[in-house]
Amino acid sequence: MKLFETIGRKLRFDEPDGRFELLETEAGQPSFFHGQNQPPVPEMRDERPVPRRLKESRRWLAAAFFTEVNTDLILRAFRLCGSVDALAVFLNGMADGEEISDFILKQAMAAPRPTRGQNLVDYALHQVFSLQEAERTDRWAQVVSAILEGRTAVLLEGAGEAVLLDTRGYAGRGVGTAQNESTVIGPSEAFHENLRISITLLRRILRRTDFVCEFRDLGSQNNVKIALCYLGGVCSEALLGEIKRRLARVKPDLLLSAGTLGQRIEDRPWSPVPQTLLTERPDRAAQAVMAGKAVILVEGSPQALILPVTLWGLLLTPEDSYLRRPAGTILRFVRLFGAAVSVFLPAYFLALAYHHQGLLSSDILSTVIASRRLVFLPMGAEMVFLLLVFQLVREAGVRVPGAVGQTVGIIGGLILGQAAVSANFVSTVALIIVALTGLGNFVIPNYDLQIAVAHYRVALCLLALLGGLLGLACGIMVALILLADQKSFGVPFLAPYAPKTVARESLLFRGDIRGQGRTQDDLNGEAGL
Amino acid sequence: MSLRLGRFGLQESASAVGLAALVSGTFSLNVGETFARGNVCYMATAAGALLGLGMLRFLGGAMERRGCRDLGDLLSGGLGPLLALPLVLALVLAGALPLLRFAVAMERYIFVEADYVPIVLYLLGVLLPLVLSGMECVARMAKLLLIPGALALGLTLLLAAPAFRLSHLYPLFSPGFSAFWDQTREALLRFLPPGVALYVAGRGCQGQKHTVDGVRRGLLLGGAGATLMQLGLGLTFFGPDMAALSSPVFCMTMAARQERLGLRLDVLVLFLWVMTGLVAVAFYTYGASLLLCRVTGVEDIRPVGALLSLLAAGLALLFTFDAEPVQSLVRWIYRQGYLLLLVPLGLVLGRSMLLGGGR
Repeated sequence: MKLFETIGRKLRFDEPDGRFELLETEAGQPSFFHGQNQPPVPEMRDERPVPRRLKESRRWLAAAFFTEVNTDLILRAFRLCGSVDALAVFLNGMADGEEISDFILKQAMAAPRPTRGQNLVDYALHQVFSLQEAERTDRWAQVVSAILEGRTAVLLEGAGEAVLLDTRGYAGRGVGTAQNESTVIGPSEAFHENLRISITLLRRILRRTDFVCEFRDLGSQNNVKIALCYLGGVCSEALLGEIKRRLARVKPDLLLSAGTLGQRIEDRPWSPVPQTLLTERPDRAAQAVMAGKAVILVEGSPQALILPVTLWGLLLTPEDSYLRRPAGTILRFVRLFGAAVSVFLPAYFLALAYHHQGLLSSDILSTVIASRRLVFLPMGAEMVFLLLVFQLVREAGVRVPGAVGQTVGIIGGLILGQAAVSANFVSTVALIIVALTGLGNFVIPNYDLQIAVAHYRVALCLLALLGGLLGLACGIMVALILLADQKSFGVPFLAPYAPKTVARESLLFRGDIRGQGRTQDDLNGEAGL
Repeated sequence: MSLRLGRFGLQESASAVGLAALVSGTFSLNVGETFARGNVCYMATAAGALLGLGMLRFLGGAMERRGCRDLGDLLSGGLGPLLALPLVLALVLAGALPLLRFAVAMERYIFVEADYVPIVLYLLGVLLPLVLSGMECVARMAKLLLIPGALALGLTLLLAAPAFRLSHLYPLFSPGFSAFWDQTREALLRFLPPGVALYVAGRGCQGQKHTVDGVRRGLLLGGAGATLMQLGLGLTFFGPDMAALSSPVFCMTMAARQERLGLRLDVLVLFLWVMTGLVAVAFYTYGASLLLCRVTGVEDIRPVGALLSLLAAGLALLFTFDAEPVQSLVRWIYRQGYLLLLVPLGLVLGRSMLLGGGR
């Protein structure tokens, strides 16, 4: 039924053009099936107040946390000031036991009685518990949410309110180094699974009063918290509004990483090219924030989501600006050359070898013929097969840990290749082309883009096999159409070249570092820095 | 309303008009008839571009005076919708003619064993998504392919340069002024459609001033490029010799054939032209579709765009037939096709002059 509705919607002539245009309208209904286009899911929040009786609170907690079988939830009963019945509730392992003993239980039991008529919750909050982050609430849902985060909820008999104390202290790794975006020069720190630590890493770079971190509960079933970070007054209000609109419409069942969230809020989930940038480097995220972009951090995910992003942003690395200007420029050229080789070389070779032998000089042609003398696979099958083998070696290298992964790469690359040539399975020319292609693929700094390019390369090879240079030209044109038509949160994907924007950076040449951190015109930033 | 207009700026507008003028000015001419009468084509091309620019300035002025944001507004009311139909046809023809030239060049010189149908189907495979993506995408593609277009122009001239002979231009004005005037008039079919297509899509351009400026800059740029190409052709081949060639531009790159970097660049240059040309064809086809939607009140451009893309490709295929009625139709289009533009635009201009400013 849904399929018929979809087809009907597609064929209807009066369908409104729903593509989002930044600063234009937010009323659009984009024409694909998932993500931000789903109607907002009605909130099902627990609106109950905190019970006045501890017995009732215990009953509710038992129902919510299945305490009969779930022993993780600790309910520690004690007497505040030796006279008022109280209950400290926390999750074992999520909260720091020492903090609870030293700053909640010990202090509560030793505290003098409050004066007559003094509010008990006020007294406990201001004169008993000496933890730095504490708040009171009368909403039951907030109590449950705080317990799940690792905070301790103190419930008092007859108060009808709870004191929430920050005792989060779960085990985690220390701040590590960037594994997938390593640079020779520049900082090495990487984001952390702990949201607080990740924000601290950002704040250490962006020591500004207008650096805003908006915390949001995404409403997923695993109650994940996210932080939307931006420079207040610099990041476009329209952009922020659009991001929040999309976040509000996304209700994922399970959210485990920033990558999942990115897929749910981007413009075209089916596009092979990413429309958000995942980074593990705080310096890169900070640079994006300074440029007027927004960054989303997700609890439990050691990556940040930068949005919006353009194709050019996906091809740059932080190292470009850490190196001296000429070296940075040369590095950019090398990267672009590598990317171009990676995309076009196999398909171009196939097109020439299959359909346009006349375009090759006699020297090159004789070399190709000589290398293929005993190879039994047709050239097209040989090339596609080698490209797939390359992907296989790469996947194996990524999945296998550490040094073993490198060994897999070496075995796959050298021994397997040599053996395949010796067995007349593939030709040396094809092997060299695929090796160059693979190297070119690795200079593309974004992992998502690397994968997209790898798939696109195979498609181009098939088109080149079918239609020679005409097929290749058509394949390139279709890819350009997709890129030109794509937007990331309202920002054209090929900006700042097409469309040209006023305050654009130099595209090919590394610009002056004095210009870094300026807001970009294509983001419609509201204030220059 | 799903007209897929989007928004685009001055550079994109000028790029779209410039590429379209360059491609039409280079490829949309009847080689046999044009060059059989001598080598005045490059002068007629320049004159045609300037004449077209002048007419389009008039049209832009009329739109400004009447407070119309696009040509569809100017054509609304009275006999306007009826006058739009020849304009739609002219835009489709303007798209079909370069397609025809590319198909012929590829069939004759690249895929000698292939038929026209698969070649045109490949081109249609790009044309269709580009037209359906809308004007914003077409304009951005034009901006993207401006450099490849310039590269194609430069490489073509560079590859042919060793074969340039000044004597090939002799005798200047041999067919006389009448031939020059005939070719200038015929050139209007090449240089009016780019401007008309942008005026049709003017509502998407950021400001009417940018629409008019885009037409001016694009036409000057594209006209200059096309004139250079025609001059290059004139320097490479003696006029009557050229009349026998089916794809003089491609032959021009092969005229001084030599291996460069171990590769033959002439074929690569042809594909650069094809890529650039497809954007121009999509620009015309989108313009025709939008105009048809505006005057008929259809609110979704996709079915119209798809149909007109198919029509352009179908016409290109039809024109490859050697049957005499088809070829005489093609000759008529090359010779008198400009009337499809000149008559309705003249009437619209006349009406707007009579009615004066304000709508």
